[in-house]
Amino acid sequence: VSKINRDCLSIINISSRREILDWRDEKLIYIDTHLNSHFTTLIYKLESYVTSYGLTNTFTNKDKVLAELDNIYRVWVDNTYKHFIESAGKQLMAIADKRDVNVNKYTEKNNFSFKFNSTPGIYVGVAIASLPIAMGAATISVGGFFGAIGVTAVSWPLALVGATVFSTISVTGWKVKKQKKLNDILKNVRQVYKDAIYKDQPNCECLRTKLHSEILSMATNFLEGIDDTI
Amino acid sequence: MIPFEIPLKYAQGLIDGSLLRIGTLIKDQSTGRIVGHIQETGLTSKLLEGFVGSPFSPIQAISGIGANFQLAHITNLLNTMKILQYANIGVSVVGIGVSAVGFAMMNNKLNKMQDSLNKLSSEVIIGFSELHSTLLREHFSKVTGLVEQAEQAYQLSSPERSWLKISSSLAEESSFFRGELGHYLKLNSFSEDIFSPLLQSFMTCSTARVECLMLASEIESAKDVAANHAKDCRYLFEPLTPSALANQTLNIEVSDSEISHQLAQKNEHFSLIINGLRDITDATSTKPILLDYLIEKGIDGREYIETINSNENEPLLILPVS
Repeated sequence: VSKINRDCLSIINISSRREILDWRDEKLIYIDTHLNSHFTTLIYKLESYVTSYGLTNTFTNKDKVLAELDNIYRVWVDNTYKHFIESAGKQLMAIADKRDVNVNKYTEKNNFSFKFNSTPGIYVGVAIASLPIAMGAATISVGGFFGAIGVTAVSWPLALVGATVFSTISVTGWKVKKQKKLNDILKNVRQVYKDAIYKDQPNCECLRTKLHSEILSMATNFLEGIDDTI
Repeated sequence: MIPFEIPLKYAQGLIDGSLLRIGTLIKDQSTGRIVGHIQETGLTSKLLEGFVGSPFSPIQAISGIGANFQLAHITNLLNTMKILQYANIGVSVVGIGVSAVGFAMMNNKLNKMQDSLNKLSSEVIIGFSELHSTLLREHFSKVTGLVEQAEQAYQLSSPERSWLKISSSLAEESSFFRGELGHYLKLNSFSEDIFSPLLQSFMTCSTARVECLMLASEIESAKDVAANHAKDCRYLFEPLTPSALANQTLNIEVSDSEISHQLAQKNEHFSLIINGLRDITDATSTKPILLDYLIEKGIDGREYIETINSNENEPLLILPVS
């Protein structure tokens, strides 16, 4: 390998690493700063549904209500995931493409030995494509991300569903305390979905963590691809 | 004589985008080839010696240092760093090109760091116990002693053997501080007051090692040390993200809206630090390429070090690649 080729590739590698790290850091901050506004939209939809359904119906059809709330959540997760990950994946591919162009333009690639007998740029592309979600974002239809990224329906605490929120509605003069009861339901709905989005559980990562993990995995795969080409 | 040029010659290319700075080298965008290596001088380290702020301060922070007679030099350094598109002075921690700090000045820096660590040991900070503080002091003293010996070696009739021996001892200290940094970064807390002295100690060990080897005319070994140091920097700093550091240091005993505000501020603050660490990593990654060039051109390590250390006219120079 000629020294010029080696230096060119070293420089391309240093630049690519920096670009990918800057991309990763920016995306993680973007998720932190924008997830909250998406969450506000979700809460508005959930609250609107409960309010429009009415307290009596909510009380008598709690299974249906919970199913519908989760349906709203599912659609929201799909859209949110798409918003944060799909565009990020496209930007990542652009970085990989740029790297590919630079390697082809400035080095004699037959001087190098790469995994898969491929050019380094393609190898990096393969590293990204191996992530089901990164490339799947363009092909998985709406409704598919929810399960694909391992997000499950929110887990309603039994005590919350059975007693605190719904059943106790009928206990003491609920007509008088109708608004308070409705507020209690809305408050609990907010809390349950907020936890699903922001609070990791022992065996279940929250959505924010899952989004971060996707970005981190994509960056790590890319960086490992670069390591192999040095 | 080593044919250095002044950075102004490259200013137009950097502005119009035909040239690009990566780490401490300048690349021609159309050919992809290196056209020059940026090299700090003894003047840079003298000017920055009086700077007591965070190593991740924006470059504008250096405008406030130095006495009046240095003002022109400070302005020159500030303008040159702007031309070269450095956003903060973090890169000076590891040296722009080969470090021109010199052993005597390294010792001054180490003493300042030791003072700040002594201050910390009297405060209760997570991850920083009295026992830990004592251990760090021991290693600081070792590094200080080694750097002092390296300075004194100039007086010997044949100092090369001493420099080689000191370099080998510094390798052990470098390994200790690398371990400490790695351990500290895995803790679920982050304090810049602890991180900065650990970082600077680790960097000092490495830059002093490279300097010792160059003075002993062992540039090949210096290149290997620099290459391994670059790998260490990547291993330690690439996993760090502003977002993770911001979340680690959040005060969660406040309302949701206050947390959002706090998070935004912390993200901004830690982005500066991470950006500085990325500059440091890039600078360490390009240093072996500079050393490789010195080998190729048959430039003697000691002559190179003495030339850059003695330059008191320009803070930064360019070694053109022919």
